[in-house]
Amino acid sequence: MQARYPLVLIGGNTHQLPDGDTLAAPAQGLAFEMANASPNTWTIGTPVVIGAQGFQPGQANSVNFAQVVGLILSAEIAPGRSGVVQAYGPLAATANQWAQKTNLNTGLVPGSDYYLSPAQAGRMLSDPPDTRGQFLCYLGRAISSTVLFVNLRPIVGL
Amino acid sequence: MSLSLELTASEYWEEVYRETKRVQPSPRFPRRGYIPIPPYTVPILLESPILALEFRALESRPTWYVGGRCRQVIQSGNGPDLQGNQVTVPLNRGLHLYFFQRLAPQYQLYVEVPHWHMDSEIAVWQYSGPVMDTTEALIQQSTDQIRVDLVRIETKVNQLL
Repeated sequence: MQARYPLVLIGGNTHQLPDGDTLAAPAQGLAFEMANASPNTWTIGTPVVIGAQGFQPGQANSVNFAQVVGLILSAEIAPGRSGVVQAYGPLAATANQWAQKTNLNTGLVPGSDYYLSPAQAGRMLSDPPDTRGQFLCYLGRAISSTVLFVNLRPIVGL
Repeated sequence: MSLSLELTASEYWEEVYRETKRVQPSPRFPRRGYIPIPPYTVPILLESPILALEFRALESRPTWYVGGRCRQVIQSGNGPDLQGNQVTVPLNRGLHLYFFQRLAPQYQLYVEVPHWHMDSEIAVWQYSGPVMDTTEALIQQSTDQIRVDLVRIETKVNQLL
């Protein structure tokens, strides 16, 4: 199988991706811009659900708030401001940033699956929820301590 | 009043009610108008005066502060319902702790949601742990100390005379 080069814009002209360069953002369609409709600032890696006015942090304790559409890709999004939400693919953040999202002292655990937290809004857990009334919302799998491969699945009511 | 509680023990907290309500389309103007979420009573009898309440709305703006108002309602047998304390619960700002007065062994919550809210989710957590009023114990402790001091002072005075 041959290696292929994607086409990118350089100075307004279309070029093959030069050797040594990297893609700066996920491809269109995998991420989208959305306003923060919650009263709090949310940071990169926060799972969010969509409402008419924008996004709210997800939480796996109610059907409305468990239907995650993506994870925040922007460094942080203040209330009323817009930012980028990633719906699929590798999402890179620092180990510290992931630690805040998972309530662990370290970054992600490579190979572990992550689920939406039922107890805290905008957080994730490596242990799937198993309490009746909660929702199983798979977010993705860690491929390193700093990269989560976002791969959302339909939620399951427990 | 000084209370001794164990609020941090998760086994003493139980989610007793969670409900999502939405506005209804207006029959006269189905495309533009809507009937706001009417006030409702949480259909369970609460026993603990200590509750954690949360209001969430998916279709909300960050500037909206009030999620709803909850009022303690005590049923007086065949008589009228008695209205107790009322609290204002913020919107989309997590669980908030409220201490209602222990006016009766059981009571209900009457909930009012702002009319511009298109959806509203309420969560009611009830604290079932120990509630000890330590005021009497503190008074007893102080009284005992005063008695000891009094005896000591009387002994000293007697020695001087």
